[in-house]
Amino acid sequence: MMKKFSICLLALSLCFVARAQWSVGIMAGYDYNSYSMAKGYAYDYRYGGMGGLEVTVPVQYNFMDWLGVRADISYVQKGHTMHRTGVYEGLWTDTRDHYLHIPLMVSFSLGGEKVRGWVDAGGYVGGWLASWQKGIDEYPIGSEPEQEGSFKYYQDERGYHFDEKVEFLDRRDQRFDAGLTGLAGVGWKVTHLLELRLEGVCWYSLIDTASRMQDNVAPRYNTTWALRLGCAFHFGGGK
Amino acid sequence: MTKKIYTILILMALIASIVSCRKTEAEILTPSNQMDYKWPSEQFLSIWNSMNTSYAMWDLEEKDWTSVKDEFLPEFLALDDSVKADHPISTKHLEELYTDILGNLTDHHSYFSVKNLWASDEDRSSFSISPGNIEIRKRDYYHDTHINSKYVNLCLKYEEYANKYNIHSWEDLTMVAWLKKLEAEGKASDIKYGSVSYLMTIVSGLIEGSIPYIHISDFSLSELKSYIEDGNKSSNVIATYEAYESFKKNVLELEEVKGVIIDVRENGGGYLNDNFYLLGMLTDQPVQMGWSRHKCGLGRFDYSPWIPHNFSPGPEHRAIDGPVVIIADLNSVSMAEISTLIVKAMPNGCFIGERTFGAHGVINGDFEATFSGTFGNNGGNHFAYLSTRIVKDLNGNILEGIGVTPDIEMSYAQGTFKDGEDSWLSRAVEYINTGK
Repeated sequence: MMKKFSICLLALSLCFVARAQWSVGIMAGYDYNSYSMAKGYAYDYRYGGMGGLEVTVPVQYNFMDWLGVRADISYVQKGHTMHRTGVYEGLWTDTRDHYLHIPLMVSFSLGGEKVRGWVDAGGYVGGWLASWQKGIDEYPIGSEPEQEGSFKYYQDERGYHFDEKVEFLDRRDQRFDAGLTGLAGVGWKVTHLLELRLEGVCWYSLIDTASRMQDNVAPRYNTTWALRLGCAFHFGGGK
Repeated sequence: MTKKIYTILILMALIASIVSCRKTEAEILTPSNQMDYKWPSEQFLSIWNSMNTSYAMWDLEEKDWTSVKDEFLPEFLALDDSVKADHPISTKHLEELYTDILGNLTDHHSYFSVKNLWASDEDRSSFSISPGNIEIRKRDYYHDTHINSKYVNLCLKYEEYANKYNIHSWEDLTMVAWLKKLEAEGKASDIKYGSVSYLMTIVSGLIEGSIPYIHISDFSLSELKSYIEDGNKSSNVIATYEAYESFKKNVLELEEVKGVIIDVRENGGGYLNDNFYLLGMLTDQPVQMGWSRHKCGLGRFDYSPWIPHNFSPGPEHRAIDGPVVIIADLNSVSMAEISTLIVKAMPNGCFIGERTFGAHGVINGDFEATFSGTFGNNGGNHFAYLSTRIVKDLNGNILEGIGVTPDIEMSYAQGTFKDGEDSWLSRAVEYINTGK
């Protein structure tokens, strides 16, 4: 019985391989990270999203002309902005975060031989590789002889301008990332081998970037949208 | 084709259900909105939550604040049951619980007062906890205050204070007696002193014709100056200000300044802006004494970058080439300790004395500046006095809870402080004269 099952499985696999094709590509584009964080009672803090760069190496294996599985390696720039309003207007911080994502997706495609569209969905795991901050903060009281009532003067050279790498704190930062990803794309086959691609992607993180050690504070999540352009090389049998 | 559509729809439904896996935002109340409660557990949670978002030094604490809640909440819930059964709560027991929770904090500025709303009529209604004062008592060189110059006015007015601090005349202050003795020997002049109750005491003099000396009990010069500018004619205010002005005149106008001695023993701290009127007088260049950092968000470990902690020259200043010596001791706190860090950062600075108290954190009176620091009502149900910034020295060492170590160590146990002798001050003069 077991032997028969194995033979069937092998035959099915050979059938898939006969129709399968591999593709490997390189894509890059612009992304925009939307940062979700409740500011609680810090009412004059304003958080916003930040644009960045995304580079992806997609690797796809098609079982059939409409169904495939895809695993990428993606470098994703995320980040967020923060600025104060009111009395402390002029103080701000831009945080740039660098992530590596490895998504695994099921790919559904449709269309003709020359032009095809596809929708991919799946999940990803990733890591927060580095973080960088720049902005203006206030010097401690006592540094300047003249303390002014409004902090708007931080916009000039008297504020502390910083532009530096952020050292991770295990107790603060959750560097593991995972979530859902989905994309829609369209491709144009220039030759049998080469395809030009355009894709719109969403990375929806399910991991709070604050470590569990930051207990009882507002969770903070990244959702990143990207528009990428690139090409893919097809090889293997079938279509 | 229909099969494909069904597959995609099922997948989308699956995705939608996973999307809802994100944690929902909890309501975060400002500490001032957590002041009213009925039960001991509510009081504990109010203090716990406020500390969670307001304390600026969580990364220095070994104790995990979450586990503190896990450990102590059941004990407070048991107290709730006790109250519900009409049994009063012993203030001593409540104090012991909160001392276990808060007594080991690194922030040496921190001070807590808690009201026992469930005490019996015979019991104390409140208690206070000062982690810094608890810690310094464990140091092998711990001693009580010796000089008590800040109380001199009260001592001269009230016998009770005079007996408590053993101060019956100005000459009972060690530095005044020392200056007077030098004056009798022809080695000191321009001796001035004054004290404003609950504000500050200043003693100044000129040693060997070229070493201006000042003792300052508290950094309240900015306030003293405002008294004068507002036309305050109190003889105590005028005498205290004259003592400062005499020191300033000697620093700025003497032909030769061989060195300067700033004496901040038992100085309890005060305004950072006082730097412009004291140490800022002794340099024509900004001095970076270290870095400081503040909370930046409500997360326990959300911090700003380390920001250079600079001190600028004052409006009136002179570059002093000779040694600038600062004298401080165990009971020199806060701005007094920051002053020792400034002097140590000066190329010609020297710190003589004992390792200081260890409360260098900067306190900003405006809670909304960083949404951290002091919370509650002093005299109300609970109150916490906390630093808003943490400081590290030029070598990158965070000395909060440890104190600043002197360049030349002295001790009260081995020092001489009677009959016009003050071995600490004599050592400062020796350093200025010999360079060692």
